[in-house]
This record gives sequence, C-alpha cells and structure tokens, in this order.
Amino acid sequence: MKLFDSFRSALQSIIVNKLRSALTMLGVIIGVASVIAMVAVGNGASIQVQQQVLSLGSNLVTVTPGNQNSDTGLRGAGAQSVNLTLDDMNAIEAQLGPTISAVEAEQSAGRWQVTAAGQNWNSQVTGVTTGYPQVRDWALAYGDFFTDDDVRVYAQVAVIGSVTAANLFGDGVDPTGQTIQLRQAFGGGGPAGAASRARIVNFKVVGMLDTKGTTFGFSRDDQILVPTTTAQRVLTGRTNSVSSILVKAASSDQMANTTADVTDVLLQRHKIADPSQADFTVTNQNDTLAALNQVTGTFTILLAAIGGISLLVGGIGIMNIMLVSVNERTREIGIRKAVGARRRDILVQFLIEAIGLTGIGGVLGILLGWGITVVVHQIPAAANIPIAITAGTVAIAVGVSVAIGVVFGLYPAMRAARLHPIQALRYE
Amino acid sequence: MNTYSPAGAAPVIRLRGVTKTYRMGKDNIVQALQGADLDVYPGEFVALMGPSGSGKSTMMNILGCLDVPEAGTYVLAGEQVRELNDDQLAAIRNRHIGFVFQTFNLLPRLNAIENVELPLLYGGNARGRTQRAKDALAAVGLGERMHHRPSELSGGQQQRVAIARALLNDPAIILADEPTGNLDSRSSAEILAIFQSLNDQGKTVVMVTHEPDVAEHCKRIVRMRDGVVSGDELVPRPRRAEDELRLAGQGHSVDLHAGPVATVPLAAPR
Repeated sequence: MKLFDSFRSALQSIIVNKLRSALTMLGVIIGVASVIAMVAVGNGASIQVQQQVLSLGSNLVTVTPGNQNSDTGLRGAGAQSVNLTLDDMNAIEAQLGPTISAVEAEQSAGRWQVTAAGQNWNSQVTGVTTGYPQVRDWALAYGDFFTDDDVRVYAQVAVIGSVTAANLFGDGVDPTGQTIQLRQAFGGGGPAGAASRARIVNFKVVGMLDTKGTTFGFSRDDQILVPTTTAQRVLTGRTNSVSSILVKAASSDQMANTTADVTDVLLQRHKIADPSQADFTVTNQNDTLAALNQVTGTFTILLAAIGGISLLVGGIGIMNIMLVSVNERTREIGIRKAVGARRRDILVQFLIEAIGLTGIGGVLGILLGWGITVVVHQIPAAANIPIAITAGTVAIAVGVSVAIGVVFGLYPAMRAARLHPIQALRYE
Repeated sequence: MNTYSPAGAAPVIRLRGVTKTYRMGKDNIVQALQGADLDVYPGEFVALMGPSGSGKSTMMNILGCLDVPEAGTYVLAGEQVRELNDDQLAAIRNRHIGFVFQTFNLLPRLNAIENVELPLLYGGNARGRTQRAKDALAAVGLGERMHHRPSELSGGQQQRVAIARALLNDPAIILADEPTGNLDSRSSAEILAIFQSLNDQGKTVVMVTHEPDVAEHCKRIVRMRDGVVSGDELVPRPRRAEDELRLAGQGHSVDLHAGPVATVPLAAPR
C-alpha cells in the first residue's frame, strides 16, 4: 500500500471517530504541553539566574576574607579581621594591571537613615573605589563618579542609586550637587533617648547610577556609594579592612588565569606558603554560574520528568484505544486481507493511525504548551522570567510524540497484522 | 478420484486428498474436509452444493487461498499453494482470484468507488485506479450510484459493488460463496446474469449455493457430503438468467423455480 493512501486512510479513521480520537489525543496533548511549558519555564528561570548573576558585573573574580575550605579560617561577620585591605587591592592593580580589566575594593557600611530636602529614607551604604563603574558594568545617569583623590582624602562625597534619588529628590530629578545627611543611632537597642546619641554625617551627591532593577529580589537601585576610605574612617571606624575585592578579568577565557594570579599575589603579600592555609577566599564567577546552572538544570529535568510521566500515561491511552479499534475493525482487516493486503500493509495502516493520533496530539500539545507559557507570563511573580520555547524543544516534543505512537501503536498493529483472514471475516 | 477431466486441457485448480480440521473449543474437533478431490478447468462455471457442514465453505476458503489445507495438495495454475508464504498467498488473492461473499463484505466507511479500488491499494498497477473502478462499476450496471456508501445501496447493488471489486485486478478465477443467499429473486437473477456473462468472457467461476435452481445456471454441479466430493454432474443446457430477466421485463415475475433442468452424472457418487 502506498504511504499516501495509508495516511489518507488513517486520517479518515481518526475523523470518523471524532470524540474518541480527541479524548485519546488529550493524553498526548497534556503530556506534550506540560513538557513544553515546564521546560520553557525551567529554561527561562535558568536564563534569568544567569542574567542576574551577570548583572552584578561580568567576568568577576571575587576575593573575600576568611578561608572557606579550612576549619581554622575566619567566618561570619564577627570573625572579620583586618586581612583584606586597600593595600591588597593596590598590590593586585600594580602587579596584574595589564592583564586585568579593572579592580575595586568594597566595604559595607550598613544601613543608614538618609535625609535630604526634608525627605527621609533608609538605604544601604557601601564604600567602593573608583573601579566600581567598570567592574560592575554600571554607568552613571547624572554627574561623575568620585575620583582617586576623593578616595585618598576620605572625601564625603556620594553616588546614589536611582531609587534612592527618586525617594529623596523626586523622579527624574538630577541630584548632583545636593547634600544628603546620613544618620545612624549607636548604642543600638538602648533605652529611649538613644536616638539623640546619633552619628550624623553630611555627604555631597556627585552622581547618580543608571537604573538596574532587582537581583534575586533585592532592588539594586536603592543604595549609596561612598569612597571606601570614607566608609572605613568616617562611617564604620574600621581603619583599613575591606569586605571584598572584585577583580574584573580581561575576558571570560582569562578568568581561570586571573583567579590564579590574584591568589598568588595575595599569598605572597600575606606571606602564606601553603595555599590551603590562605586567610582569604577567591571565587570565580564562572564557577558560581556553573553551580547555579546545575541547580536550574536539575530543576528543569525534574519538571520535564513530570511532563514525561503524563506523556507515558497518554501513550498507554493510545495503546488502549488502538487495541479497541483493532478489535472493532476485525472484519475490516479480514476484508482487506481477502482482497490481498499483506501483514505489512495492515501493520503500517494501524501504526500510521497511532502515529497520526500522537502526531496531531503533539502539535496541539505544543500550541497548548505555548499558550500556558503566555499565561504564566501574565502572573506578576513570573513576568520577569524570560520564557524560552526553543526550536529544539519543539523538535523533541514532536519526535517524542511520534515515537510514542510507534511504541504504543506497535503491539495493537501487530495483533491486527497477525489476524487470520478467515477468523477475521467471521468475526461478529 | 472422481473428478471430471475434459480432454486436452490442464486444470486451473487441482485438489487432491485435501483435509482440514477445526478445533472449536477444547474437545470439539470438526473435520470439515476429509480428503476432497476436485479439478476445475479454465472456462468452467461450477456450482458447489451440499448440506450445511458438508465442507463446501471450507473448500471455498482453501480454493481462495484464505486458508491452507492441512494435508493433501492444492495446485493453483501450476503452483503448489502449500509452499507459499503469507505474503505470496496475499498476492494470489490480490491478482489471481476474485472473491465474492454472501454478506458482500464491503467497508462501510468507503463509498462504492473506494471499495472497488481496494485491491489496487495492495498490488497491481494502480495507475488511473479511480477510472478503472468507475469502469468496473459501470460494467456491473452500477454507473449511477458510485459515490454512495454500502448502507445507501440495496443488497443487489452492494453485491454488484463486491463483484466489481473482485474484477478489478482482472483475475482468471472468480470464487463466490453463496452470492445470492441474501438477495431476492430479481437481484439474484441479475447477479447470476453477471456471472454468466463473465463466464462467457472466459473467466472460471466457482460458486457455492444450496439452492438447486441457482445451481442450474452453472455448467457443472459438484456435490459435497461429510467433507468429501460426493457427486459431480454436467448441466448440458444451463438456465440463462438474462432470459428470465427479459421475461420479467415483459410482465412476468422473475421465476428461478421453473422446473428442473436435466443433468448428466460424471461419476457415480461414493
């Protein structure tokens, strides 16, 4: 039998039993749709995580105090000692300058109450050095970043985030040149009146950062950047320590080299011979990304497996209905055999019918899955997840549904092909 | 060996000592054929008669390659059927034999043309198959209702569709298993007229019937009893169905029961 005739005949038989065909297909439709939707959401989440990590700055090698690999290492806030300093950063810049893109050192100064133009706000204050815009890939919307001179003289200047600026000065207002007052109560948790014993420092706003949005749920546009030295001397009182040094490698390929170079420089400066005894930790952003990708990948596989189970159930439904169909059409099989159909002709006929059911179901499932992702996108919490239906996903979904047609259609088709013509003709 | 053998021709069908048993349930074994012999020569029109259970339908199924004998030999146009595999049997059913059933056995979902085309889907030259199906339908007098489904056709019309289907690959042998069993007298006469006309054109026809007056339209009557051939006679002047139809056209009802026709025994019954 010609393949075209087989397809026509299969399609006719699917159309004749409209309701049954539709219900049978439903299993495959739901299965394919859930695979498509879940993989799309999983991939989307993975892409989002990647984008967020990279939005912190790309090709970053981060140095933090303390040794994560050693029990003797220093951990946690209380354990932070003076083992990373601005001098470490300067040494990295001096020794690796030509091979790296940029470097900066940060020191968190905690949350401060901010007052300006009669408005009150509360922001995270961080001391950073002049490499910040380059390391973080973050340009300014207004004004200029503070200079190395500002860092040297502990200048009381600040670059503020767009959300902070909007809350203090109003939306779209250029805040440069304005003065802000940072205020922090000390003797924390003290009795009433503690508020009066507050540290108050004035800063001049020299620039405002571009809007970047949120990372892992935190707004990155509500912050105040001051020179690291100012944070150390004026805001926290710690003299020389920094909470992290960030090195931007020249390229993604150079990250492993840069990680090794930075480690060498610091080991040498800290006079540590055994790298396992290092009093600092160097983290490569690529490793972080890989770890996160592994997590999201596992997540995606889990989701796909759930979809796969519904596909399996759909396949069993196909097999069931094909067996019923073969039974019902025993006489037809007998007639076809009587006029000369070979076993193979009957086999192919029923196989194509099963594949037709799963193939059409697969295509409808892809459409439904796509619809689901569109609906998911309307949910505010998921609106930022980039939904990714790739050609590969679609190809796999179609391939899998056709394969299910073959696998679950084969046994019924073989039963049909093996029928004895006389017994089939006599079947009532 | 009580088979008829006209001089100078090779039989197109030769059965020798053919047996077939069916197992119906655990302890119920039916011996449908118990050593049947039969020769059919090209151009014959044979009626196969016998009471129910005599094995005539089993014989037809074996002749039609729908079933294979347990023992004995069946030579069809020089080929040993027992040596053929499933696909080769299917090819013979497709090309060399046209089968007509009592219950028509048309596919209910297909219209007349599609039913007639069916053999061409499985072999033969498929070129222009729709036109050939239409021609075959026209040849059996069903030129107008070609796009109707079986359920929209009368019994006689359905049987004509079945005959057109049997003829499509131009087989040398037509096998008909009680083709008039479900039809009224007039339709029966029409169907018999078609068979007689096909036989006139040189086709070999073997037809099972249990109605003597239907059998009297054939050139030879083979009788079966208890799984063997028990009688074999020639009909020197068979009834002509077209004569009966012509009379009917002149105001008479179709009468298939108009007196017995003389037959000549070929061999003594066992």
